[in-house]
Amino acid sequence: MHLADGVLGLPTLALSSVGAAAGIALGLRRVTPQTLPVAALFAAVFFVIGTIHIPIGVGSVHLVLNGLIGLLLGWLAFPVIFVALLLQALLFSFGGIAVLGANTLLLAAPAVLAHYLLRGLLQHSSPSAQSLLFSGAMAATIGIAGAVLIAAAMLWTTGKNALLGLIVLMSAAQIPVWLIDAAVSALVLASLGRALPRVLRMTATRAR
Amino acid sequence: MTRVFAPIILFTLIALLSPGVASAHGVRLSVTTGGEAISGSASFADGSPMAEAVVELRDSTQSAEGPATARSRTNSEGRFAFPSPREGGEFRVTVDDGIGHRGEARFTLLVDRVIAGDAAHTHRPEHPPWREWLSGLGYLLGLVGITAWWLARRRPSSSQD
Repeated sequence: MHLADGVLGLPTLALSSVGAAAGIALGLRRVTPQTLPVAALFAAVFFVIGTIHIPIGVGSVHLVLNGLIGLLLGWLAFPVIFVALLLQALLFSFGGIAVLGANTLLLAAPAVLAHYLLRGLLQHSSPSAQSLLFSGAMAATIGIAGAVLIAAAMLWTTGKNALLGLIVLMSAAQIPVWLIDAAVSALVLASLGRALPRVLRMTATRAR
Repeated sequence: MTRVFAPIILFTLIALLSPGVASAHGVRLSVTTGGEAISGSASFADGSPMAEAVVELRDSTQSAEGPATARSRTNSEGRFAFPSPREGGEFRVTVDDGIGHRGEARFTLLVDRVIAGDAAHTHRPEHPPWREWLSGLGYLLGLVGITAWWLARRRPSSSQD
């Protein structure tokens, strides 16, 4: 779902960059000594997994995990995803610099949405394994579906394709991604629930 | 104040100088296949050619110490060429100048005379992108450090770990 440089028109780029900048600002205000290590860890994970391509059939996919990142970190997902995308653009020539704001927005906005929709499930003192697996899979679903919708909307503004066609095409391509993302997110969340439950409640208390 | 800054400056100097030293020995080997020959060039990380180095072509059955399928030398520009093997398979080209600089490139040769024809495919040495990962994680660690410092400065009265 990385959009490349030169695909989007200037107004879309400008608007998305403003949106991404606002999200990043909101996210940075929420950095605390507790959330910083986890945020850094997920930035590293997001950066690395985006470069590991798993061959599936004729193409290849890579994990995204934006839903999981959003569920655990909330608005921090914006600066985390932005930094990881920036490093990918600089070191691997993935995506592009001009389109960085748009890519950040399309990946981080669904992440924040997943946070607000699902964090209630994490507030229990000891959530069950089933609810954690479910939350992980749902977070991945919201993350991927949201990214597809926003990316399709952005591409639609170029005026070259109909919106519905874009959504259908992009969704079909992302189904394998969605499946492994949901599986991995579910498993990671369940493991965190057992091993490091306090990570699940990091964003429950606002330090500022 | 000096006690804090002196180690920081010293460390930064060492960090800035080390890549220059390390890359002086990095060998870049690129191989081009397709057509009648396997050709390529070897150079150092700073761009200077690896001239008069021994280049060897081996297939997957040949060990690194034993005889090679073909042996040649790079010219003054670091270039070399071998006749293309008749049969396909996995091959590797090694270049060694005898004074500690060595490079290796592995590739798979598909021999189909009709398709291979004049199309040249350039093979870079296959590797997981360790260097890029290391760079990215390094920058991340730097950002984390700066953020932690910034957090500490903004709330000097609270001590949290």
